[in-house]
Amino acid sequence: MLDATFLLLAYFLVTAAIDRPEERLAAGLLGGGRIEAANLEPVRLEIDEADGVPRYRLGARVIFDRAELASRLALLDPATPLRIVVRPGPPVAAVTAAIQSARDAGLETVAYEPGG
Amino acid sequence: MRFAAAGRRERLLPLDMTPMIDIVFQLLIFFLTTTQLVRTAREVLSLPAEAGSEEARSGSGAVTVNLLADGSVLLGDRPMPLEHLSAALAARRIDRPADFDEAALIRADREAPAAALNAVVRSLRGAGAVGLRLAVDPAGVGAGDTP
Repeated sequence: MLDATFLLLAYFLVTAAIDRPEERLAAGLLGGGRIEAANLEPVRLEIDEADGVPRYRLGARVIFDRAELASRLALLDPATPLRIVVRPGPPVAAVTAAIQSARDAGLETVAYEPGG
Repeated sequence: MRFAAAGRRERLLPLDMTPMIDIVFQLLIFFLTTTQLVRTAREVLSLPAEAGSEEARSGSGAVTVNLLADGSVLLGDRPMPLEHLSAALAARRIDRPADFDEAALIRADREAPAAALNAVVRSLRGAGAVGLRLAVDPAGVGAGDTP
């Protein structure tokens, strides 16, 4: 009985360490209707890569630093729809960084658009 | 003097080990089985280190696509070439349309190419997905992983 108890304890300790908690980042899909129905003109954020470094284009501004991206997004009205256009090249981490920055800035409508 | 212990038989309590061994083996089989099920249900990935968003936590994500660092895709736990993903999702929509009532869940490795992510998103959009949720790892926030 003692052996079985220790076996149970070891099992739950091990599985608790392996099963890391995950969170989710929400993004709309362009074509879902919500972003087109918004009253405000969508702001375009384009993500690509320059010399192996993720690059963000917010309107006409080119941004390499995530903190600057976050501060620029925070200047937008929360009701402003944000269209994130993802070009081939950057890693997924750059995409999630952009979506997270948009959510942290309080933007209500964030849509993902696969770019060519 | 005759001691009573000389003629006394030492009593041994009979301890039957069989049930204990049975239980141990049953436990072993149970844990082996459940460990396999847990492993196949969720692919181990290096998720992007982000905090996540409050509104994305609800729902179970009926359609789950795993995107590995090399760009390969698993629909649930089933390997799926990218060129077949659209057809597989379309078939799933016919079989189980309720799965698409919630936003699809994409579990993408942080180093996976955005081109592969775009292909997955296009396939999901073509199948009628109402939205996206990207899985992130809040435990990695602050470790300097984010670009």
